[in-house]
Amino acid sequence: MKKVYITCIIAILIVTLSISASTQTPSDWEHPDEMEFADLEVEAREADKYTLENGLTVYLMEDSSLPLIKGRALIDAGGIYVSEDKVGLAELTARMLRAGGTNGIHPDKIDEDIEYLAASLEFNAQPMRALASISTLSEHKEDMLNLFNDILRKPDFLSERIELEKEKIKESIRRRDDNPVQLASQEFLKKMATGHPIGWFPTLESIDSITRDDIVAFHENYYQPQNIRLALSGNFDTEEILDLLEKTLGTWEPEDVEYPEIPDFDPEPEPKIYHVQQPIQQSIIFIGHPAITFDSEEFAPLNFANRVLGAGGDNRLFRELRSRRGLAYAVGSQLTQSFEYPGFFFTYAITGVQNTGQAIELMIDEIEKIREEPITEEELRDNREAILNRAVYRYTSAAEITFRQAQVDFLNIEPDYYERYIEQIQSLDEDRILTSAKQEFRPDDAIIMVVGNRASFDRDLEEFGTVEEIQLQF
Amino acid sequence: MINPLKRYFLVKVIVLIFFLSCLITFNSAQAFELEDKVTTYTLDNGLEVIMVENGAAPIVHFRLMFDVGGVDEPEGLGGIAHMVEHMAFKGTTSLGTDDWSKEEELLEKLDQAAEAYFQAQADDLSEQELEQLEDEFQAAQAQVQEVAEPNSLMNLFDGHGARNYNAKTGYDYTSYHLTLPSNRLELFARVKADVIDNAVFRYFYEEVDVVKEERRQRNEDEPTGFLQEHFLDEAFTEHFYGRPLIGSMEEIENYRRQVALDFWDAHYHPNRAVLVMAGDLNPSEDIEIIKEYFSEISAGPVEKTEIPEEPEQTEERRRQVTFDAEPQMFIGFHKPTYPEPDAYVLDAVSAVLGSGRTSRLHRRLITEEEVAVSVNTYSSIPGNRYSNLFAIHVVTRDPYTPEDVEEIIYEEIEKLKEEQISQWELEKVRNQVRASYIRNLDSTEGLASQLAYYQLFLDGWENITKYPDKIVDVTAEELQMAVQNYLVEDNRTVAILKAESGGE
Repeated sequence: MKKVYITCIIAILIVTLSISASTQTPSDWEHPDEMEFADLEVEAREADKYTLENGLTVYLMEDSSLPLIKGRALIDAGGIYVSEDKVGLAELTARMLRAGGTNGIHPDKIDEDIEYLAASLEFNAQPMRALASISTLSEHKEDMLNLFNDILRKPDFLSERIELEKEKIKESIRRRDDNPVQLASQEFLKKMATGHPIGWFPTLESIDSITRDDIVAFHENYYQPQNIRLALSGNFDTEEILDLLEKTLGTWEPEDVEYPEIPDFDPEPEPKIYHVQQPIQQSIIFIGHPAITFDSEEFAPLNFANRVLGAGGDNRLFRELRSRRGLAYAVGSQLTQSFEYPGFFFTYAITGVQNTGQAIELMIDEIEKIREEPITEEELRDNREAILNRAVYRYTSAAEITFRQAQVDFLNIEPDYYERYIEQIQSLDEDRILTSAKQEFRPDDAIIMVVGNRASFDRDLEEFGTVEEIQLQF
Repeated sequence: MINPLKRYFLVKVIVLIFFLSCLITFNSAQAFELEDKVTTYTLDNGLEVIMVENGAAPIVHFRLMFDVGGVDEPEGLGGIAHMVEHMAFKGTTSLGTDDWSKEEELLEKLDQAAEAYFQAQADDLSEQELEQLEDEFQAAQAQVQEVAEPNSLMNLFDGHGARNYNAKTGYDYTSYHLTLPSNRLELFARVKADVIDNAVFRYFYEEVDVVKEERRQRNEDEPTGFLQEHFLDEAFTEHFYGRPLIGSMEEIENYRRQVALDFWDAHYHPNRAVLVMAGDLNPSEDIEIIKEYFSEISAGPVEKTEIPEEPEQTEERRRQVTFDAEPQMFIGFHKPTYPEPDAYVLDAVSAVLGSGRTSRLHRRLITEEEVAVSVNTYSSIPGNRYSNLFAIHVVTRDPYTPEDVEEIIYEEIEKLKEEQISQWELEKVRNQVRASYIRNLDSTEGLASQLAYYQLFLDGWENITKYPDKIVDVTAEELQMAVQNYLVEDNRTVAILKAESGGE
């Protein structure tokens, strides 16, 4: 009896506590939808653009807020120009510029000089470009520009360091499959861009086959001043830095570049389901296909549809698979921006192995839905506002502004592309988006890549189509 | 031909040796600049507000940091700080619901259905009974889903142009951040103040499943995350820095909505938080908007979880874990934290050993001996509030084993004990800390995070400006002594990951 009584008191106490703890939004607080905001002035800023006599283009913007200078150079020396048996040559060349010594100075000495000045200078390459990044205190600008000039034009490509760099790349190839997400995304890209350099990845054999002569030849051919767009911003005087650039990079005599024939891109690779067996607890799923180029009239409506589907604030894939069903931490979709070749559209999810089939079905359902039914009025309004309200980020820093301008020229995009994109966004309606989604999202043509432990899947992958097993090298 | 860099280098060394004081003056000048841009306020409820004016673009970055993190979780509730961080995105009594009073009732029913189901699982009931209770639990979830939205805040901020709307739970702290167009300051205040005071933990059990997937993705299927969890567990026998920040799978599965809410209600008070705003601000006007909303929140009692002290380590600890991947290794040494002088000295040691291509370990392991592809040093993981670890992470190169690399690392450590580092190396470290201080000022988000952290844990945000001098003041002798005292075998934990089939 007594026990019951105490339980009652505790129960009352708990109820009272939870009531007192439960507060509510003050009634005089406006709902955010009712709030009004002052207009915002976004000041458009533009970098100064100069083309040196040898064709090297520079984009400059002064910013004296801190004693720093930052630079990025886009170089038309990407992996796209490399044949399949030498994949990795563009990346290796880029790395060796920094790591192989220059002008008779040993690479260890270069490292010491750069690090003593607390500066940084790095090179890398992707399929469509090589990229150099510089960061330095402004007081060392002359030293760093001189070094950058030497490295670009007079690399020594020391053989022993080439071997060292090759071994490092080979180790990363050996380790590639250790990270299941990396493994899945590479295998997926290989299948989406089959037969094309975008879908090629270095192998132990391709790295082994690269010689010093290959690197020297690649550098001589593609690293030419007219192939370089350099964005510089920070604490400098424009006249002074131009003068420095003229004296350094400006004395570089250009030579013609020979471009190889690049294999055609196959916009319609065979739709198929691929599976990579891995003894892991989750499945990594990609579903997609090549889509459209950035300059297509369909880009704005399709990008809008993609935002609603899997890339915007409360997108459908996130809401359905993650928030409502708890199937995945990482889920969404992407429409990549691509210029000479079609970009890719894909959805992705990383889900518990026991939910693999369910997730694939839901992902396909959502793609079907967005191409069959118009998006809602709210989705149209919220996503349009989201895109328009992001205009403020176009001019956040001198580094971003200069680099964007360099990119626009590098990629040969119309300078007013953004304004036109915004105009298109403003005029889009549900029907236009639906038409685009129906035409360009093609789940029947999709490649499905699943990395995971097939024995534990909730459903047989064959239910979704023909399955091909991929055998890994390691 | 004389290389200009070479010439410069000589001049630079001479200048540095003779005019070290210039460096310090230069730092002070920088510090002055930051202080010039900062305005601070303290609200009546204890919330501290730090505004950093930087009008480069019409945007404001917001970072709200609480002094509550993984170490503050009671035993058995590992990861609950991370869980409530997720839940703080789910809306409030006024945001995300069609009808709060109805939803409140449904949530109560849901809690009961959940409890009945979990209790039945524990009691080993028949399959049929379990199924019945599971159906009821799911039906209760579905009913809440009908009246409430899971991502209304995300949708709201996204529509208003938010960038990087996210949060981070550490062992020491939890922080919520986003960047908005500067005219949306009131939107931030209205929504975030509402969240602190009136968060609704809706879609809770759905989110438990999300967090389980997050754990699998980060700590179970990913080799480095997997090894790090084991490394911390081996290094800390008592202190909560040894627990997985995200919680164990068992702990996550046992989360209950009310328990999570209790943790939230007990800790996340304005008097335990600092709000940093950085960007296009007008402090005297903007603080009024912040006050209008945040002043509505009451201060709360500061309840501190009792955190056991880590006993002194007396012998080396080793752990090897099996994982289907190429090998890697962590080596850690216990050490004190700030403001102990040795903590700063060990920051310098970390730079000497592992920062950049000219650092001792990089040069020896990667360039000279060619036994590793990457080596990183960390002078204080996994947090700074309590004594922590100096750690080295190495990714080996085939065919070398972690044990091969380990020997060489110890040789390098011994060298530091036997011989003081050169003036050149010391100057390099000083130059780097000075430059990285300036670079940090250039990164709005990084700076905001550091200001908040210093304000909460390191005796005020101003101390950021004093940090470079603390490193510049480190002498070669102090550095040598710190290595002799801390980087020793008895104080060492080694965790190695290898494939089952490995070792041939």
